[in-house]
Amino acid sequence: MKKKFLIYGLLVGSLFASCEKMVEIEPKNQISPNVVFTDLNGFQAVLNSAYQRLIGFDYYGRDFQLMGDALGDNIYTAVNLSGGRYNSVNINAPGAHYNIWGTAYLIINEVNLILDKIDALSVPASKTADKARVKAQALALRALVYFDLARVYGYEPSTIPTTGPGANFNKSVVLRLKGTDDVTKATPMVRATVQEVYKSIMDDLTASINIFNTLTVSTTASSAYTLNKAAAYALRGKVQLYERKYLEAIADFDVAMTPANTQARLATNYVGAFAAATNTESLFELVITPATQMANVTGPNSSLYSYTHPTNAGPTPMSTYGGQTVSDELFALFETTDQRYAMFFKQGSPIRTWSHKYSGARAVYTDNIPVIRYADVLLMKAEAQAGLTQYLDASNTVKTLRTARSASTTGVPTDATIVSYIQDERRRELFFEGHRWFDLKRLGNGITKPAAIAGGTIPTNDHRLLAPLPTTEVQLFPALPQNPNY
Amino acid sequence: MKKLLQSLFILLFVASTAMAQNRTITGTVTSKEDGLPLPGVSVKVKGSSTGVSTGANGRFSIVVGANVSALEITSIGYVTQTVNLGSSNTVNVSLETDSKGLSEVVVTGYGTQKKTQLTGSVSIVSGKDIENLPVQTFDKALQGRAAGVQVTTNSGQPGSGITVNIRGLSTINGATQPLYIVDGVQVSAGGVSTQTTQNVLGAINPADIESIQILKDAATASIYGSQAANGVVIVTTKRGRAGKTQITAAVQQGVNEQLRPYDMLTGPEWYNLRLDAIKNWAARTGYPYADALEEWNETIFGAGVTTAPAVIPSYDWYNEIFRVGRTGQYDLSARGGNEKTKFFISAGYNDIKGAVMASSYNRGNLRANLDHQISDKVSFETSITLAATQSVGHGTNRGFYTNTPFTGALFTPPTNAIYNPDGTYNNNLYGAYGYNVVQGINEEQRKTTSVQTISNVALNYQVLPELKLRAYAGVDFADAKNYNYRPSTLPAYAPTGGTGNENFIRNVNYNTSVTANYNKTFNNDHNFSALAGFEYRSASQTQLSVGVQGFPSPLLTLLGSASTNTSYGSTFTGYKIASLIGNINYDYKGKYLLTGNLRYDGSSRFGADQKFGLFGGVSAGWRISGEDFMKSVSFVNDLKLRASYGVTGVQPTADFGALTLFTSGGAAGAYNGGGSLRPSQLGNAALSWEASKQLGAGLDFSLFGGRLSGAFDVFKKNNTKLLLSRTLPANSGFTGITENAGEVESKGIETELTSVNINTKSGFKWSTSFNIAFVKNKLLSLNAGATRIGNSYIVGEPLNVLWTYRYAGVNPADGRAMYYDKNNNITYQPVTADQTKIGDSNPNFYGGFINTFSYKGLTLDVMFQYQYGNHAYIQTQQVVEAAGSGYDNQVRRSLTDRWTTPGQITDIPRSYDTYIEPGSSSSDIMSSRFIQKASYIRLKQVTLNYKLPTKFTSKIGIPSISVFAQGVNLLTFTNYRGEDPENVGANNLNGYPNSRTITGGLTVQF
Repeated sequence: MKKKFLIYGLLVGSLFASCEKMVEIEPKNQISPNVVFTDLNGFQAVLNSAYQRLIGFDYYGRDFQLMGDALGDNIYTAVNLSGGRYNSVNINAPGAHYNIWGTAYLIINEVNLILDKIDALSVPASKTADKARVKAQALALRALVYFDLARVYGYEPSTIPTTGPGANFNKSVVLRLKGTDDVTKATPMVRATVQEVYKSIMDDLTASINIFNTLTVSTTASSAYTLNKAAAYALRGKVQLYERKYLEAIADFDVAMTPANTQARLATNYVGAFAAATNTESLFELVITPATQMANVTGPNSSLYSYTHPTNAGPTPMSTYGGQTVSDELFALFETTDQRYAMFFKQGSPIRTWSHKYSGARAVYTDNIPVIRYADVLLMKAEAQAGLTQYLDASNTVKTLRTARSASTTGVPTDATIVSYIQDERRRELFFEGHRWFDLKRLGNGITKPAAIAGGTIPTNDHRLLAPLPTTEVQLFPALPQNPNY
Repeated sequence: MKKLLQSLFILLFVASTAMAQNRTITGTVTSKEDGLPLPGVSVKVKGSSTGVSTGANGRFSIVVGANVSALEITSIGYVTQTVNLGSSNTVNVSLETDSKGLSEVVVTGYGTQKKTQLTGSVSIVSGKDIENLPVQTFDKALQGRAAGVQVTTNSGQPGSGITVNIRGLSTINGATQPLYIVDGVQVSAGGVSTQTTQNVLGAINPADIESIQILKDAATASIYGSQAANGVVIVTTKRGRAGKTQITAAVQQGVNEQLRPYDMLTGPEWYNLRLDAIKNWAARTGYPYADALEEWNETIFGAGVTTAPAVIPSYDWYNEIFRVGRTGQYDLSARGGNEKTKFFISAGYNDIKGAVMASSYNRGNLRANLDHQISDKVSFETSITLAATQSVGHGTNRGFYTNTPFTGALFTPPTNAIYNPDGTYNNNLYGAYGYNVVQGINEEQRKTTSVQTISNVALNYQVLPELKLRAYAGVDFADAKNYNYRPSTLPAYAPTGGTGNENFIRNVNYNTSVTANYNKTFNNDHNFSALAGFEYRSASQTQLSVGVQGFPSPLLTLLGSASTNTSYGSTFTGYKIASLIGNINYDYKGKYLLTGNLRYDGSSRFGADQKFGLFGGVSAGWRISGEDFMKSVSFVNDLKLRASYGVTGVQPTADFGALTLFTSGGAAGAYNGGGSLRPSQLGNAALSWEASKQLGAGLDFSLFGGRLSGAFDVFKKNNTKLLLSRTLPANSGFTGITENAGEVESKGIETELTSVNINTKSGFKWSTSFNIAFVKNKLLSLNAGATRIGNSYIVGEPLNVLWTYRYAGVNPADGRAMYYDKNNNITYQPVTADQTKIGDSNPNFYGGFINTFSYKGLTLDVMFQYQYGNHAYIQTQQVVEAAGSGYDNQVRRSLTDRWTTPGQITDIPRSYDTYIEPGSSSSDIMSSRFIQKASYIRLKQVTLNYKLPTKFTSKIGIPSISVFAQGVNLLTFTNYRGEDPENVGANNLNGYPNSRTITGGLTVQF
């Protein structure tokens, strides 16, 4: 009997001894961070993740294309058709605004992790160019995202108001340049100044450009799908335009538009360029895989097509939450001969004007997203020229564009009025591409809402020019601080 | 020393010679009530475990030693009798039915205990009470039957998931559901449907259940350690009995129908309400009303039609998705065996069509429970089940127009025709996002088909009369296939050529244990039992999924026929638990009772620094009625005071939550064809269980010969080391890290009372069972420095606070919606800072009330179930009480109770197209206007059963025939404005309301 007890005892005892092992189980869908950064493929995969986040609907996938027009004056939201989408954005209700904070910092952390570790990675000689390209892209991507954060949540170096709730408010965003790989690094930080953030953006872009300049340039259509030399130049030019450093901006724009540096060309057919899967004017374009990234109800719920088309319109009846219509003021800017006028159609009762810019060019509900487009760079160049009072040059630059768009060039001014003409031209060219809000904000002329909204003019020192930081972020660390009046 | 040895030797010799002088006692055991022989009764030598069972004819034969002076006769449901042996070798015993429940045995984990010796708080629901109910899962049948057990149906979908909270909520992110144990198998409860809702517990046919015990106090539950903080529900199924095989067949048929439908507006009513809204809007904005009217008519009646037709059309979309559903339930079982082998075999089939179109539940169950006595010492038992279930139905609490019909059918403007004149679906709709919900519900396919087993085997070895070893293995396995098909005939899916999704889920969950059970009475007075064991549990889930689009024909519905693959997934998750178990019960003369439990749990879900945890509890009881001084108090049959303290745990819900990980973004996270890796979480090596410490005290009593019995309990539960996400600055790339911090306290009182009110000689009996529980919880603290999580969890407040703007009613002067700002002034445009606590979603009290009337063969059960004081969002009302300010169809009070004339006091603002009057917030914003207490009393069940007199039925050879009629959810008393106060889940938008079920049936036993 005793023996039996002993045996049972031993049995139980030995089971217990191996307990630690018995309760181990490895995940299969995830891996540990040490394994990720052991070869270049791991770095590339993290970079892919960062790119993919740009196409989120709260970022370039939708809001960065459309919300700026709704917050500004290009869109009238038909509330009965929109399914609640942008209803409060269009009337600039407090807090109805861009919300890229979360996504932007996910990207920044991924890019930071890459930049923290890539220099230490040793690769065979055949891969050194690939490694350099990953680093150059990571730097440019960090600059792009910080620039967007800076534009959304803070003032530009030149537009910090002197009156109103935001008087002398020079806080930009939290500037993190090191990745978070354990919880001790996730400590709260205060917002950096506008100047500090702009300097960091310029440093990243210059570092990126320096690497790109050592690499060979591709001008195939797909070369625009990732950040590249021309895009980095164009972006640096844009940042400098925001800083009103016109000379430096023009130099960068010229490199960006050099045919040897990019696939982008001024299109001869405006509507056709957008109807093609890849826009021939793109210096940097985000590619969306329709099958896996816009399938099922994602398309009708969230796509640019759905937002900008009435339900069951077009050749195939498709259900949409279309309520983002062209404002009467925007529509009135066009000559009927202008190629860009053909982008509009009228439908509904009451009849509304709709834009067919996002036509489902790539697949149903799916359009690639041109982030940096040739015409934008051209008009930014014209603006920089006008900023240097080179009105004639500016006028000629605008005429180049208008000629390509089959629009009249006779009315293009050659004096100081070109400054506001360029802004109208930007509306005509870049409507529904999200630029309008940032243009209105950085130029400081206030925001005159479409008459149908009966919203009057939002003065340039209104607190709503800045988006609110996420509440949880401020609750956690009030010293950030929140933007004025939120 | 020598002498001692000598005397020991003599003693042994005497003992063995005594053993040699055996005699055989034979006899018959009958029931005192009807004099019929009782099979399967245990006949034991008193004070030992040697014993036999009576045979089919109630006869037994036992060989006993000459020194044996008494036999103990026990059978479940009868009062245990001790028979002193005289010189006669024949003993006939007639057993008395146990009306006082004194002999009831309670399963308390790895062993059993007599109810009278129980020191914890355990609710018992007998299988008899629920066996013929038209419910698909037993958890639903618990509703209102056990004090402190709150059962909430999340959906009226037949066979849907159920939420069970024992003694209220006390966690934020941890698991909230009890641990379910079916014949020893720890079941991974929950749902397996990604399309509709299907409850895993459907694998158990309620008709197979012998009893359900709910371990509520932590001391009793702590034998299950880190899984037990939400209580433990132990289900025991029916097992075979020696004797004549008993066949039971039951059939019932019935209907399901809508319970409390909304009263929606007709076409003309809605049209005119809208005109009012447009008129108000035009007047306010200065837009010419004549133009607005023409545009409106064109919208509704088509381009060019600027004046409304004389007769405004009207179509009832809401009614179109409902129907009178059907319930069919068929059960067959055989129960029998002999002394060596016993069996219970059953088969069941459920065929239910829900009260909403395209929702159904079909289930087949098989069970074989076998017990075999291999030798005197070794016995073997097994339960083998197989269940196949198909649920067809709608997504619950999700989707808008798509996935479920419940929003679309309510909101679609009623002037839209459902069908074209040619009978095809009308797709030229306005205000319905181009989505014909009736077409959607009829043409979309959503179903879940699962195959499950919850089976086990056990080997028992009686090493010594006092010592039993048991080796046990149980498995809970489920394979579920989820299928969704949206044909291209639905305009929303025409552009993609139709879409299809399939998802396979496999749950493999098993537990094994080895236990040793020691039982001994010392000096006749000290009863001692102990249990020690080891247990191992492993649970894993794998999923495979695929999505496609581009079907060449809507008639081809298999995924292989589609042109494009849109998604694919393959996931794995799992956890393991290894444990040492210990239990001790001691009592002195059955008066002073003590129970201790201990469990040492290791779990893969815990962080590397905290792999193991110790749990346990102590409970003690004083059976006052066992004291000599109580002997004279004749009206007290049983009286017991008890107290307990225990520590149990809540496991982290994330299987790999303690590790720092990168995850693949999969196809959706890829960029330009390149796969992606992204940081998914920061690890915490110190992550462990939530510790739930519970102090309880109770009183059990049985008075007046068992006519009044019950239990009264108080408890206080403190859940510490809550699994919380500590908020990190999102700009770090992470929004939080899971850690243990904070504390929730809950307190409660619960009572169960059972009384026999009338019991006449003529056979009329009226008994009542009533239970009620008052539970309160409070969040005491969160992570260091944090005082709230969002708007639901605020330190110092109960869990699940409802937090929004405070509605101040309608301005009587102009009909605009008013709100209180943070300073209690009226505002028309409230801002976030004005939001405040409106209430919380915890009920103040809940319970049930059951009356049973019986007279001869006739029995009537009437059961009410109630809940009081829980606040609920009624999000649907946000849309349907908008006074026609948008396109959506409205409920009647939106028309009748809206503000129309100055001076009018009402709660619905005036009609105003676009909702937003200049200077006002949108009139439909969430506020306390759309929060209401969902208190209710529901006539949950009425069953009328008639057992035909045996003298008639025996003539046709059938000893027992019963016919019955029953109704479920017959009446509801509530002020709640939504459809169903019981189903307030995710803000009540899109909920499938519970149905009323009325069935009739027949039970035959022979």
